Amino acid sequence: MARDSPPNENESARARPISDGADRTAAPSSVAVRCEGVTHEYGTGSTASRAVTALRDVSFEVATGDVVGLVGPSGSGKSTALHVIGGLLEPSDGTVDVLGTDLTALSGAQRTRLRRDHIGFVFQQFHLLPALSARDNVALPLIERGVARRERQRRAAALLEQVGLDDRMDHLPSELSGGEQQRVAIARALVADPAVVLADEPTGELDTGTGARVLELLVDVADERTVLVATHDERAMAVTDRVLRLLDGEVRQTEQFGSEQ
Amino acid sequence: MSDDLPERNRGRSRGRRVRRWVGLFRIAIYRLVARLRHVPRQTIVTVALIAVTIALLMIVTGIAAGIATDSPADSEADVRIVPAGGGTLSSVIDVETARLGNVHETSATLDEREDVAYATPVLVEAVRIRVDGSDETETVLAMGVVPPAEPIAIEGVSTAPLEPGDPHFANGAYDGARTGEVVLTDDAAAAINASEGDSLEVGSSAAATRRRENTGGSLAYTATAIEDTAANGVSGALPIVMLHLSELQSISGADDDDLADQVLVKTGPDASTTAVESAAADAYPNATVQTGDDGQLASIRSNDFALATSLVALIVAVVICSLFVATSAALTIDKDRQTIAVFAAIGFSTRSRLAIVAVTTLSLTLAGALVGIVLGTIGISVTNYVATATVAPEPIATIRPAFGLYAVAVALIAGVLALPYPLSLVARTNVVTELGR
Repeated sequence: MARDSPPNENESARARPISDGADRTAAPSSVAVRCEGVTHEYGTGSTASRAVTALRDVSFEVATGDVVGLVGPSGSGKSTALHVIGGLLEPSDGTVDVLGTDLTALSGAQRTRLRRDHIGFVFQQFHLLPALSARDNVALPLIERGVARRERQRRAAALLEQVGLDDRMDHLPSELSGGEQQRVAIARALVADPAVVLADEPTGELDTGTGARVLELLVDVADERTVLVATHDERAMAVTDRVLRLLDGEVRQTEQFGSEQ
Repeated sequence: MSDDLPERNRGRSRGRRVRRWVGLFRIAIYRLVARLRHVPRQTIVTVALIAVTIALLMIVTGIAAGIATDSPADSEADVRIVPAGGGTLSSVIDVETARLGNVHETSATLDEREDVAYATPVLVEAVRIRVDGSDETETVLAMGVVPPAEPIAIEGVSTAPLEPGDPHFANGAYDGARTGEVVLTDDAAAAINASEGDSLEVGSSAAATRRRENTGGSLAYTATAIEDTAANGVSGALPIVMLHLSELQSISGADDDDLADQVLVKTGPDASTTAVESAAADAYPNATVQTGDDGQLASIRSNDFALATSLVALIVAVVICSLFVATSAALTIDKDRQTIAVFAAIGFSTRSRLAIVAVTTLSLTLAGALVGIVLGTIGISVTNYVATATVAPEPIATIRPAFGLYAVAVALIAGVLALPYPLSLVARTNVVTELGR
């Protein structure tokens, strides 16, 4: 699995505290993600009259290693929740804690660093770079971490092998099917060995069968990482430990599998 | 051992930084290749526009350098004394204009100064010339000079074949030994079909009468040398001959007051032009003293002119190149915001994203510059071919290896000047909006 590579000098970033000068919890926590009273409005400021509340006082926790589904119809706030947890958005109100770091206390650059070192993203449209081969696409996040090219290639190849694309390493995205492209995207999300993986509608562009296989693969290769999957696909529940149902920006229901709701 | 740790950490950090920058550079190049593949027309048009601009810059600079070469820094004179209201070519245009008098003595006085390398009067006259016994008579421009001991070139014609000094002058008596030496430019030689060593007849119809009276018509001239004007860089196909001043004065009648059109003064290696200029002004209080390239003939070929031309070309090239690059880069980024957003989402810092776009943009500019160098080199050759085939006797543009570096530097400066606009677009990219598009 992605954690199989031995720690080396390139991994020292992960060994460091996850934020520089940001709030930090005093003791290690079993909670990977904690949102408290998170509200986010789009269109504030000059376009305040057309403001849309995407998240309304949302609070939840995700334990380390859990696979959680954020399920709801389009516009329910699932993607916004992922963007807030990934540090791409600063919520209008509330606090977002990721791996013991309060994201709302970080600058944009600090949130980017945290993303680089601890968070992997999988997108609905895959967002692979068309000019790069599958292996180079997977290795992309390692460039920013200053990993040597040979090591980048080695780790990318290992992950592509894990997602079953060992015979597609040198193919360009345009030469891959949708399911294969999403598997490349999953490998890219995991290559930097993140603690949290955020997947935004990872099956949205795939047919039912392929989507199901991709989801299973994601959860499988993510291993003991914390995974949050935003989806409107009810079948996604099959691979999750817990589902948070969102509607109109609010968490309406939490379903815990294997225990009482 | 523990003292080594900070140093080791610094080394690792530096290594990471280097690897990161190399990686970013590779991504930028990949993006450029992808751009060529996916939007070939836009990319090719941008490269072509930059290339054409750089090629034009090279051609204009080549012509400017040609002009500068035509007017070398070590020109024939640092100081020219010309009659007030007169000029270098006045005698060609109007024989009745003022001339300087007593030029032998005055030039000799200036020549004796320690800060003067040489001083020679120059008389310019239109004369008729032919090979002895031939019917082919031509009117040519004759320059009468007092050749210094160390040969010099005046208007590209060397005084080397002429005996130094002016023996026929004989302190104003004009009865000294005549040398009969004439240097012809190849154009003059071709006009009368003369070869080196041929006997020549030189004179005007009016002067010939006088000459016969004075000397019994027994004057003989010899073509001492034929000067290759193309090799000497003389512009124009004007047939010119050079002979001793007193002998030309005798032919033209300028010997009455020892007349000449101008006095050329070259200062010594470390001498001050100002002091020589002052001495020249004292020698001819009513004349005009010109320094450097003030002379009419020099001014149209001066280095200032060449510099101004190339500066204008430089500014135009930089501005046009910058606009092309900025527009093209902005158009590309507009289509490419999603990729930039993906870079942000997977943890690329703003600086890294900007670096990728900057390297892509500068690489595109560099590609344009390299094509431009090739086009410019071809353009200079074509310019020279057209010029020599039509109006110019010799190539008007030069090309030097430094032009390549110059073109690359100009293109990169233009690229750097164009960067703020595309970079501001990158910095303003809304990551969430682009990812959700």
